[in-house]
Amino acid sequence: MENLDGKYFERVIGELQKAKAKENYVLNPEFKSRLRADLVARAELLVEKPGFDWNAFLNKWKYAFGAVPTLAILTVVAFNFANNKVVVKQTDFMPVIQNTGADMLKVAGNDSSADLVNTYSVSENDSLESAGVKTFSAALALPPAEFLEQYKNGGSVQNKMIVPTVEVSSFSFDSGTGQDVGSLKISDPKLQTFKFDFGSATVDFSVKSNVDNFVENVNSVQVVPKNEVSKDTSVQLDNANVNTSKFEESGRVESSGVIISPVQNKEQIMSKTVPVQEESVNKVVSVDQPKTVEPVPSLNEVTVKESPDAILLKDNKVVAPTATEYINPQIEMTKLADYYVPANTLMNQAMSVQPNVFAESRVKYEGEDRDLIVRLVSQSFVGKTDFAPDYYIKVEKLLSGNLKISLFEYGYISKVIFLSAADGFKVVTELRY
Amino acid sequence: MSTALLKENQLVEEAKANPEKFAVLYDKYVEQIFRYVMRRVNSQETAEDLVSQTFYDALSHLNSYTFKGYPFSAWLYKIAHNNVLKWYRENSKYQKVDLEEITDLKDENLDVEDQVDALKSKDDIREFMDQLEEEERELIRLKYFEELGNLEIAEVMGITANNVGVRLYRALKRLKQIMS
Repeated sequence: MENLDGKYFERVIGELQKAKAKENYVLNPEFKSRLRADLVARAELLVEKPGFDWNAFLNKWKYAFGAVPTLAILTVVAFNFANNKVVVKQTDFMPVIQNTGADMLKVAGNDSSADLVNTYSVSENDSLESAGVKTFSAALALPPAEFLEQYKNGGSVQNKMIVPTVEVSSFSFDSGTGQDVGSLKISDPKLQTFKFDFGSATVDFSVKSNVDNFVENVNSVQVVPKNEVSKDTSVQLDNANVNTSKFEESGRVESSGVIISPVQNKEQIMSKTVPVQEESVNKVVSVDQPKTVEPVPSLNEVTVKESPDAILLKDNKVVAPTATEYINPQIEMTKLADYYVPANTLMNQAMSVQPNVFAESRVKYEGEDRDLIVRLVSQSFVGKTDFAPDYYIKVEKLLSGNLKISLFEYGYISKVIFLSAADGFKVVTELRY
Repeated sequence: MSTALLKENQLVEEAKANPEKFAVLYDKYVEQIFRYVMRRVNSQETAEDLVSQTFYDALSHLNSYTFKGYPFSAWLYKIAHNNVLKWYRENSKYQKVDLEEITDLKDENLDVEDQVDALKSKDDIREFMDQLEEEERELIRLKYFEELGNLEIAEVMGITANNVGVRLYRALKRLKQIMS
């Protein structure tokens, strides 16, 4: 780079200096003196300050002034919290609360509402005042201690598979070994069953298999769970109705004679022991011939009841019907089921010791011998008394056969999981928001 | 640091305590600032307005001035520079021409645009400078007309002193190419 003072720029700089020399900018003396006087007058005003500089004072204490209304509001809020009980109105409860009885879980041969799981219940210990107002103590807002302990100690939870066509509920998520509790972990791909956490709720996926898949799956199912959070899956079979004649013809179970006896409530579902004939189970659970299963003598006629695609809750108020949505020309999404879980239901869940299933959906795959059952299970619910958490699960079946499961919390989508149905419902993508 | 600079800074500090002493600084720099503004706007009336505004601003913000080792004039140039830019933004739709100078033109049959062109042609180097970018013109003006040092130019234009050297070199090179 040439020197600015060197010969290279000599001519240019010379011209500039000539131009400057030719300049004749003269400041008007009158203007100059007028401006000077004006400035002096202004300077005098600056010197003669008033007794108290309000501007400086306000500028200095502006944040303090802003804090006054904030503190006042906080004081009022704190006062109200301190002086008001937590009250939940009776009218807030879901109508299905009254349904605590026999039709909690029913898989009946001729009943179109098979596979229904009543998802809402009121604990018998809850006090329901006649005035229509339900009052909770503060302790009830805490996480259920017993369940929390089980949850912490857990790491692997499996329920026994008893008979074919009963969903396998085997899952694993590790909270005790440092892994993210909320992360999904498939316990056994062969089971095609897993569970993951959605914050205060859990979604449990399980594959409901017919005999073919069941036998294939049993290899894994036979592993005894190392820690059972929920007690044995409580179903009762009426083997007399099992018929395998159609199975012999097509190799696929067409209808079900399996009957799960009505139980009183969810606690009973979780705790009731299943009276199963060991012989029949052992035969079905034959490991040696997983693919070609001979009809089991005890299963004379297996008839599997087709479950409805979308409606799984008894009360229609919380379940949307099946509908087809066209999101864009390339992707057709079928909304199988929508669940809206009101706040008071979650509160009831929080009060109960056992995690309860409060929504379940079955996704059918035509041409395949398996269904997918998607459950929304309450796991723990911490300290939300009179606030209303809004949990909403949406299950969509894509044209590709994959599943898209979205969870909405407080109106916002919080997680989306894409499941590949082609290979055992494995998680393809998990998105967190 | 030179004694003159220290003395000037002492004067500024006194003016902070007693604003009436600001008049001394005004007397020292008003004509310099006026010429700078005049070179930019080429209008006596506009230049006077902008000079007034520059010194009003300087007086009202005098307490925020901090001595950085170069003359107080650099701070005044910076205020003037900003005021000129603001004026250009506000008057970008109009090109002001000094009527007094236009009436001096011999050929009164020319229209206004031709008269402006003729006015510019009086000074070749300015005509060449008009073909430079505004930033290049400003650098050359501050360096060779206001005779500021690179540090002061950097303060006025808000760039580093090294950058001033590089940009000034490019501006002169372009000007030389235009002239040749």
